[in-house]
Amino acid sequence: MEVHTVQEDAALATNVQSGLTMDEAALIRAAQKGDELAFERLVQMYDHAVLRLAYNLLRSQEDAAEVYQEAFLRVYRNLSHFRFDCSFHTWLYRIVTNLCVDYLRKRKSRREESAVVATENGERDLTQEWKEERADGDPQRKLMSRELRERIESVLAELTPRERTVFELRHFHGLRLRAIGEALGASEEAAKNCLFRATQKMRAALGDFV
Amino acid sequence: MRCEDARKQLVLFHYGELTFDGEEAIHAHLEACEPCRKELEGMRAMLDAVDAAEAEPPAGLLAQCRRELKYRVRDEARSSPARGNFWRRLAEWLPAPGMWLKPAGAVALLALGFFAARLTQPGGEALRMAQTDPVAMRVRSIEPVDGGRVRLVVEETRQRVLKGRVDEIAIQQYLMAAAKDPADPGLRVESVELLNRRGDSPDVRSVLLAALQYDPNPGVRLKAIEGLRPYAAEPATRMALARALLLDDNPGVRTQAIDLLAEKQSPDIVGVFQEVMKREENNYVRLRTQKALREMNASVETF
Repeated sequence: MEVHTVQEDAALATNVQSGLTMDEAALIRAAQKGDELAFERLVQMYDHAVLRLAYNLLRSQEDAAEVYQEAFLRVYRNLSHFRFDCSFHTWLYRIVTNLCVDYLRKRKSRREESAVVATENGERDLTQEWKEERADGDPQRKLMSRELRERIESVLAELTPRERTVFELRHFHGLRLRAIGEALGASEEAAKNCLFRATQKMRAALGDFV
Repeated sequence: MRCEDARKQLVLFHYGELTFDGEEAIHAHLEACEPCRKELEGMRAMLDAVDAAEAEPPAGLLAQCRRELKYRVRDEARSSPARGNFWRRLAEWLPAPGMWLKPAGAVALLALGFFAARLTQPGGEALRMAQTDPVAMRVRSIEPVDGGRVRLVVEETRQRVLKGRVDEIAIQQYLMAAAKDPADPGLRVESVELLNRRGDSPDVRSVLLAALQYDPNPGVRLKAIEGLRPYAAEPATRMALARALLLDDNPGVRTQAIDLLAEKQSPDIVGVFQEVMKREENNYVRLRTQKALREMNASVETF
């Protein structure tokens, strides 16, 4: 059983309430003891990156929001079992990437089943609607050549879920391949191979455009 | 080093994932090999282009996720089986978070496209419109054709001025699209205010319900409540009000939700009010809830 002095607990609470940067391990320990504010601070250290990762991988606000909720609820439920044998960051990314890979796999199999659905008003191509939804809202995207953007989005969507995730984590989130391997439960070598295959596919598909 | 081996290492070289010796070997090879230098340049240009494809989550999504998580974590922390059943039931009623935001772009575009097409047809009833000069224009391609002429492909964005009454379906469709415009809360407030007069339409009512539950702006949510007032006894409205009462971070919205829910003194809402008494931090909202429970002869606490 861990014993904390009154002063230690008071200092911890003061730090959490004042929003000062706390040692991550201290935040985790406080959250493990049921401190909701500490858990909230811990979430807020990472949640923007988590949402950005999920949103970019899934390209859907609804799916990204669901991954966010599910990931942090899993963290909350299992935090008491966290024993500091890997970094919290790696543990969190493992949860998030697994959820995203599952979503991508489900989506890929759904898409392969059929992207065109019959409706009362004729056939609707869901992939086209997805593109329209994504094209809206982000001014930076509007500036890009439409053709190039569509080609990039299409080639990203064609990568396998693992290739897509490794590329996203390395290119946009700057994670080292060793950490990506750990997050995905794979070796660094496997992460390297995924990254190589992803860039080769993208280079082959985009070579004429850049 | 052979070119074939070097090219397998280029991506790792670009990302700084090679060992010191590995990087030195690639440097030495690149100095002597122009095709591999070009390959590296091409790969870097491609990766730069991909950068522009990265999207930031829409404004408001993070705050919405945090708000939702806060309550879900609190619910997790409570272990009473009875309460668990209550929350499971409530969760079954409630649509998934983000459902409001998702269709904002796509539906607005589709709806506007569909109605713009209809409106350009002759004989467009009472709706009057005027077309203005393009407000944004871009030449997509230029191609020489015969006789020194050129063929241009031009993309133009035009503005249309539309006039009509709120009870006209076409105007309503534009207002419903504007009520979901993620970029402009002022436009959403005005649209919802106008739509409030047409709450008898199921489509309009569903827009008001979604605005109440998912719009990130409290001004829009308060306007939506006004429009839902005549329908406060309907199950869909009561669910949305219960959700707002429990999850909305604006005390004004929560207060309005209590008032509307309390108008119909139904036992189905007692559990929600009792839950509010446990979790509510705002004294005024707690007092209003307490008053509502007393008027319904219900206990202010659960045991």
